[in-house]
Amino acid sequence: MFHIKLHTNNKTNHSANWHDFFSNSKTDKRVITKTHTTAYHPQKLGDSIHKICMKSFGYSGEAETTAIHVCVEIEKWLKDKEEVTSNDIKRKAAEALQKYNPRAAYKYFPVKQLALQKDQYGFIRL
Amino acid sequence: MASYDYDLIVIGSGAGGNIAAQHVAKAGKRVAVVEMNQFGGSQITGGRVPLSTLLHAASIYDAAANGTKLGIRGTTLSYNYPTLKAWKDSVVKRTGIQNTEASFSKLGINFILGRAYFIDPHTISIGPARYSAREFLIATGSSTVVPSIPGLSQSGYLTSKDALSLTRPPKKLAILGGGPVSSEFTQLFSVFGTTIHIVEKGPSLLPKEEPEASTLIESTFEKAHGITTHLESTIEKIETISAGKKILIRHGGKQHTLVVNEILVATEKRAVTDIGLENAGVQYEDNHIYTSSTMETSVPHIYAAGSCTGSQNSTHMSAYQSQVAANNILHPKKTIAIDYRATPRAIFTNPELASVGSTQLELDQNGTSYKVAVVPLSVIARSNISDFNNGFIKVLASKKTDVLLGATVVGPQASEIIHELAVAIQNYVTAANMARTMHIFPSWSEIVRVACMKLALK
Repeated sequence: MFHIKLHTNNKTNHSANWHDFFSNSKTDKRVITKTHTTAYHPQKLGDSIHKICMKSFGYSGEAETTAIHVCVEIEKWLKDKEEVTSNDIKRKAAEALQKYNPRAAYKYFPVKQLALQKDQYGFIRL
Repeated sequence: MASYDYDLIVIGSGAGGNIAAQHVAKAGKRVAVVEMNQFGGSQITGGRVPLSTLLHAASIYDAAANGTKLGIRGTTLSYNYPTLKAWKDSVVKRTGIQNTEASFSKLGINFILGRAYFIDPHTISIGPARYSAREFLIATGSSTVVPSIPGLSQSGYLTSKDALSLTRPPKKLAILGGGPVSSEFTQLFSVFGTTIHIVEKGPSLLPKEEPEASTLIESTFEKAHGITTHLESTIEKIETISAGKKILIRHGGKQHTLVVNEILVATEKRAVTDIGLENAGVQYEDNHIYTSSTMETSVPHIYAAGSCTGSQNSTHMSAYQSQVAANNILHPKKTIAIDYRATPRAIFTNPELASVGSTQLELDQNGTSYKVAVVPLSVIARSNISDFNNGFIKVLASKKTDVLLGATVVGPQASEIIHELAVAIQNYVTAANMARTMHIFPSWSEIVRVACMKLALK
């Protein structure tokens, strides 16, 4: 009997560049969530940015590059801080993401400041 | 009732922070001050105090260089800039930073070195530790915004703090921005022989001052020191070449280039807000934290004072705001409101420019009926004695009540003369009353009596 597997739990296959970047990025920063305090994982952030970019009509390569750029900007911002909230990371990531993928930025952190602006013809220009 | 580590945590040890910290600690409250950089804030260590020290030395050098007319001659008048710099450093050291630190410990104020970051409305994180407080005072100050000009970061630039640490004045300097900081650095370096070009987007230097004052300062710069001002000009790009830095300037439809050794960025300043204000619920914009007239932010137990509130970037303003915040922290049922009516401002050029209260443009915009008197300095005896007639006073008073509303003085010791006008404006004194008050002959302050007399007779 044949079994057709419609959904897969396999993780996305990332490029070597992606693995190189995240294998070297270790930080000692702490992130405060609603329930507990945890260590900051750049790869976790990278995965979530990649996912949101893919959902916003993105291509895997482009999504990976964007996620890496965002992670670099977050690490720069975190440089002089030891402890931040998860909401701070989300907000800052969305601000960084707006440069590369405004649609994904609003999806990632839906606030008025990141809302997409319609032009005079009613189109959203990306 | 929740218990906190402190009654008040002050973020920033500049004038906006330490005055409130001392007031509140004297009332027996538990206070901590958090500082990220050097104790005392940027005005003492890298702003007003070192710049004023160098300007004082420059004014002595300038006066000596121009003393030939009076019969004063020096065979070899010269300066040694490294010695000047050492003098400036010694002045900064003795300003009272150490004394303040000692007085902090006497008052039982805890001084914490590190970067404060709000993690909730009552808790901040500093390095590995967390501290909680019933109330907070944010006095983080402001930092220079570097304009996004292609090639600027690659070619390198000086901020005002860097310019104060130079070991010798640059030969050719381009200053971006035409505000008070730009004018004071122009004054400083031009005396020591630097060729200066000021590039300003707007139509005049010192746009917040009276137009007559801006024009006079601009023309004095051009005549006395050969300074070139590029008004209504924008910088398109900057390149590094062997001779220095090549700046491409656009003025109207025309382009021209400028080659200088250094570029000084003296454009706008922006409030330091990257301290987790979102986690505390404090509302802010890019250049300021919103405060009420009681210096309270959008969160009732968090106050703000100093240039982070978007007010004039001066120590006296920060200190005043800090005092108001301290009073309102200690006496929440007897709060006092901030009053900006008689805020004095001074720019230490030669001649000095000082002003207080409203400008003519502000009164026009508010629809206030007013009368105005402009008197040149040459009408008083002191001008003749000092051989200086390149200045004026402009006084504004209400047309209905004769009460003084604003004043601008351009001339020697303008920053001293302005204080009697500040007292007058603060206390609703009329022009006629000022005119009736005796002033010493022959002093520069006599000009105030003459101008108020002219105004009272209108």
